[in-house]
Amino acid sequence: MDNDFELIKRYLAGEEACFEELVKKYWKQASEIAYHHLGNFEEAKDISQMAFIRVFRSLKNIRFESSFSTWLYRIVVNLCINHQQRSKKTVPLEEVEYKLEGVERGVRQENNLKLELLREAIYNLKEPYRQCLILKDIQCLSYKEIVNILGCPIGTVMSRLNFGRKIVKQNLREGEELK
Amino acid sequence: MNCAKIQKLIGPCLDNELSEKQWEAVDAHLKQCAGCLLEYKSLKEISGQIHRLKLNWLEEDNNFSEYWTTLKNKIDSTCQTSLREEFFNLLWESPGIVVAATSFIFWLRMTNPLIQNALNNNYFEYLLKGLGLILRRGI
Repeated sequence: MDNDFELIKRYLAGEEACFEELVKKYWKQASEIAYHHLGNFEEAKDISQMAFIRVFRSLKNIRFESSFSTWLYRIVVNLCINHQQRSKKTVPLEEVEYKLEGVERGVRQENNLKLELLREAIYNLKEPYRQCLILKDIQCLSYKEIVNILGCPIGTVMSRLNFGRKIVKQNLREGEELK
Repeated sequence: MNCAKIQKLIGPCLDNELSEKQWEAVDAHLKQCAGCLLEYKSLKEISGQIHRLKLNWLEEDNNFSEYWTTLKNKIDSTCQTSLREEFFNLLWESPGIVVAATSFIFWLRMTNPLIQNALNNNYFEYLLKGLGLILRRGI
């Protein structure tokens, strides 16, 4: 955390390479959070780049209050929500690239079918539950970080995680029975 | 603690977010309650499975230099836009500039016979209209 702020301070002092270093440190995490929200890798990369542009434009006014990663992830999550609201498209699940990428891009394992079901279950969750599961179970952030990113009380995060996991479990079971 | 309370703590227990005291209470309860233990195990399994969705980056995606070049180009193009925005914001948001410009025009109008002549012929009106158009398009 301090290292990130140190990089920002050095960038503001004129060391331009420090911003690149900052991007290098977080571009994968930012892209991955966006990817699990949107289900499309190229869009996810675009969104993460937009987040870095916002960061770049706000660096001069930064107050060094919360950690840089929390700030960045909050921007990414908000951009994803805006993007989804703006496009307002309800893509049929069969057309979601996410599903295909699960086989192409994800862990190449024997039980790809189960992984695919899991992706579907996550993708079908309502936004608040999905956000919490992505940030906790995939990105392994702490409750405190999630609270800072989503701006909701810790009790809400806990109940969303609990409920989200239960829905995923139920959806997985139903999916397995169907297939 | 009863089962309802323990079930609420199972999630934080899986996420290592319990205090030592809470953890001990959950641990003691799980040792004697088969239902809660089953719930714990199934949620742990789900949590672990979800974690497997973490991306394994393929070689072609793992190209930071390409990502950085695209980002740099985007930043450069937005910087140009933001400079223009800043100029117009400055123009509209600083009352000092507006007051100074108005005073200057008023002074010119009062002192310069040429301007007075132009005013009489409505040249100023056209000029102001033109300026207004340019500014609006600029914004």
